[in-house]
Amino acid sequence: MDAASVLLGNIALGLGTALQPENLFYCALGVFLGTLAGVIPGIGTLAAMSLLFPLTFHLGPTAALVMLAGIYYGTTYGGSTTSILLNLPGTPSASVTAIDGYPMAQTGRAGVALFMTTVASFVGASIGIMLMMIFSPAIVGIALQFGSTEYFSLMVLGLVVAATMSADSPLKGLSAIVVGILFGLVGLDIYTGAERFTFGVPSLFDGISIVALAMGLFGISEIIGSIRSGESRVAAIEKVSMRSMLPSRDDVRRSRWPLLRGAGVGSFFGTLPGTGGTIASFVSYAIEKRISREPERFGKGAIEGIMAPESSNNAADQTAFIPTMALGIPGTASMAMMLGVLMIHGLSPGPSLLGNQPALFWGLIMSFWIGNLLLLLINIPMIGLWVRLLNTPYNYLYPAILVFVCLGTYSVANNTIDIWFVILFGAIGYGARLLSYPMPPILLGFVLGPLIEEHFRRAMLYSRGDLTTFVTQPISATFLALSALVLMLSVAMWLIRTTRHAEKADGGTAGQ
Amino acid sequence: MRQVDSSSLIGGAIMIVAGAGVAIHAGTQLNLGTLQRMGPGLFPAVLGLMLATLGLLTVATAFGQARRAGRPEYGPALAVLGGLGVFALTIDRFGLLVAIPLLVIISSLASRRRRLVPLVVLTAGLCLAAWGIFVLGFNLPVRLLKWDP
Amino acid sequence: MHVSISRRIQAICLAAGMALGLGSAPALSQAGLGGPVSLVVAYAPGGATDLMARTLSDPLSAALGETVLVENRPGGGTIVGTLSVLNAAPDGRTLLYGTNATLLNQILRDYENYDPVEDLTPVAVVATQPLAVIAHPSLPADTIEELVAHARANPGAVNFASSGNTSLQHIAGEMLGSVAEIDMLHIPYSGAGPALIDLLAGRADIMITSLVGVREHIESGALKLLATTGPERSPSDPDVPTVAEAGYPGFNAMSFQAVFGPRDLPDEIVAKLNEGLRELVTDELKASILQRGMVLEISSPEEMRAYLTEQRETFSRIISETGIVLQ
Repeated sequence: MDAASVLLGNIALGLGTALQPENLFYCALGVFLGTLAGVIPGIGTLAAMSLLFPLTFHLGPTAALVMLAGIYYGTTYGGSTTSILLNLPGTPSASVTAIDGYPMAQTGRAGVALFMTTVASFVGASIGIMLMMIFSPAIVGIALQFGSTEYFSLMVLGLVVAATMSADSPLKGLSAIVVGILFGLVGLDIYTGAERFTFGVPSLFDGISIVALAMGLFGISEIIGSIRSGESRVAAIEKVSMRSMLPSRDDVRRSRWPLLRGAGVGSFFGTLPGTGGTIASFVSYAIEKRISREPERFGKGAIEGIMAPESSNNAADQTAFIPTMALGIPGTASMAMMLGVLMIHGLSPGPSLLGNQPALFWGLIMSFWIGNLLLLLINIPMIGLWVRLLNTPYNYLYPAILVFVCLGTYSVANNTIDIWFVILFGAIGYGARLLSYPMPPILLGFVLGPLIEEHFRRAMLYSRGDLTTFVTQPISATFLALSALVLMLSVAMWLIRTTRHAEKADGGTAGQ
Repeated sequence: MRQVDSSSLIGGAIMIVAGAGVAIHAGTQLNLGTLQRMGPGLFPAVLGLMLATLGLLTVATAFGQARRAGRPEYGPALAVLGGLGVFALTIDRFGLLVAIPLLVIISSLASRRRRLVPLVVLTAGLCLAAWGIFVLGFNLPVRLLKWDP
Repeated sequence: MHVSISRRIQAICLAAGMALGLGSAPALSQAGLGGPVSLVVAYAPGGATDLMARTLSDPLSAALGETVLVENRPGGGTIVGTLSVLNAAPDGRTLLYGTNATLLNQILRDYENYDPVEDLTPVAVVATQPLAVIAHPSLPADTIEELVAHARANPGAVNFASSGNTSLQHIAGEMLGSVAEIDMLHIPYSGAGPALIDLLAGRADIMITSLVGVREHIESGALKLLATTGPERSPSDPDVPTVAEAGYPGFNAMSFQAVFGPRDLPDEIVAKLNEGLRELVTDELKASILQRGMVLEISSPEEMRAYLTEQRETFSRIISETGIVLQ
């Protein structure tokens, strides 16, 4: 009872702070800019945040943080828009949403998809915020439990779960993952500083830009493939009424559980510094596909396939604040920037922030909710506008997309090499499309692969080369056991399916 | 006549070549190290071998399947990738107001419906939007026009 | 209708182009530098160096009378950004906001043979910061002497974490290992954040890092502070001994941030920029930056050259002694 009243008191304090006109204004500014940055391919969270960073000197710490945080989670909201409409992920985590979102748009359900992802983002974020409020201290303990041994086993589990995403041809799916990992290894080896596959080009020392990879693989290859077909098909004229945006009863029924599971998965990954929303959305998509009774619907516009990853990456965005705020240690560059704001204002981030600055801490958390509400209000009226974009003749639309892709990727590091990589990955993506290799696993491998290597090697350093460390540590052993279980289950299911097919085939021959 | 899945045949062959190439490069150029201190080459070498093996299996399963590789459309591919390449070459030398029109014009060559007036309108609109969003809005250090060949 | 709007748009577009792109080419006045100044940071946005550059860009704009924009050119472990400034026009409008890494990367990686001290033009050292040797409480050592004794008794058992291979934190650790003749296992991370988490959890034993963001963990007892690494005791921690006091005189590992100009930057522009940097220092700014653990103090160009030469000599010696070699 005590805990509940303390929590209520904190909520009241937070709301009081967040609803002050100044904070409210900067929250709105932040989420608006964030949405914009998310929609424009290539302009990421960091670019938008560093744009407004100088402004934070002149603001109070709460207003400054509220604004930057608004940009941060606003970008994730906006990122799904172009994924759904144009197969052009505005942010890397949104590329998962494209898998089913883009087919939905092509079958005239863009309005529903955009509406539902907005709802998923809101619900995911809200669940993340709620978990953050109640379990913050406990979650910090969990984050400290995760060393490289545990991370490695967790990544293995993620990979095993996700490897089943491309059920058409498991061989091609696995090949795509391996190719992705190899692209992820380009750059300086963090343990020895050795150059790997850099061909002596210094711009490659820090690795291939994920923005260039995602833009090229998904966006550019899509454009090349649809220039001719896009022109011949009459633009799918959609009625943009409120009605056409609303999901059917069936949509709602299918969305409910994926939404909650996605939020759960996302909240968990968010609390582990350095993993983040991209992995969370892949894993939650893979889980939905795996437990679905009709996995064949995935990739063809299944609504579960957009709900789970969107709710997941937004939840992860929120819970990512826990280690940052509670330990004072940033997991990502965006979080580092927020801690920088605190320090500029003479506040030291760390465990005592919650005790010393309750108004700031709870104000920030409550501003997340207000910000997410504002995002809902900004985004829903925009849906009609976005859908109309699809009615633009394709021969005018695609040059415009190319311009934004170029400028967006260029502006990440002010380096044309990233545009060359867009070209390279555009060509690779188009080739993969023709040879029916799936592309999302390439991106997953790209994100996960280097992490797996980093943690495996560090675990080996700490254990002095003893491989049993992965099974003697309880958390790691649990993840590995789960991975084995998932693997065995899928092999069993595959066996059952093939024997059934064989029986059917036998029956067929017998009948002839 | 036996059916062959040409997409698996070609794709598998590419994976074999790429995987073997990576494994050979990693094995010969990079240090493999020991298990405690793994060298930079170990992980890529193992992955290269895995990729080559997957490629072999893909080729092996190609026979007896009806699927075919898609037919490449060289025109659109060339126009889009070429346009991007010209943008990359010109942005640092001549600025946005040269790079954007070139990109729009070259990439539009792929389209069968080309009309001058809308194209000019589009180009101008995109220049303005790019200036508004990237230069004014996000304050990014790109020049509109410059001369630095 | 469409056409007229588009013409107007085109006109605006062109006019804007003239105003922004071409208009800035000729020098406008003698007082200024003739246009906006790019302060190049060789890292992606968000890091400590980037934040500091952004903190300084506003007051520096006021002091110079020109807009100072921070431009991020990451890549190549700072080499991409460094080269872009090195080869820029020597008009004072392209500057590098460099760090220890500007020196270290060139020593370690003999890429595009250039000399960061002779070829880049020193403008001013802007800020310095001593590092600190911090440890997890489970390590049976509260001083450098005890750490050395413990590490000698258990060779190879002490794990020292760093923000990355060949970072200043790594070099400082190797320096300590070298002068104290102890064998510690270096465990590199990608960034100080993840390394600190493993230190807090007790997986890593020690770390040599900035005290920013760590102080509170020391006060709460989650971490302990063994020593600072400057030539003298740190003004923010006068009670904490230095590594040098523990019997290793001359031990000095400071991180610095400094402004460099391109090759052959004329003296009068260097003087103007140095003047501008001095003007931006106010007590208020100094205090706010001290809060972040850094001492804001503008050196003269000559002092900077001497400082860089000395630092490079130390780094080169440690690197060749400890055999940190990149394949």
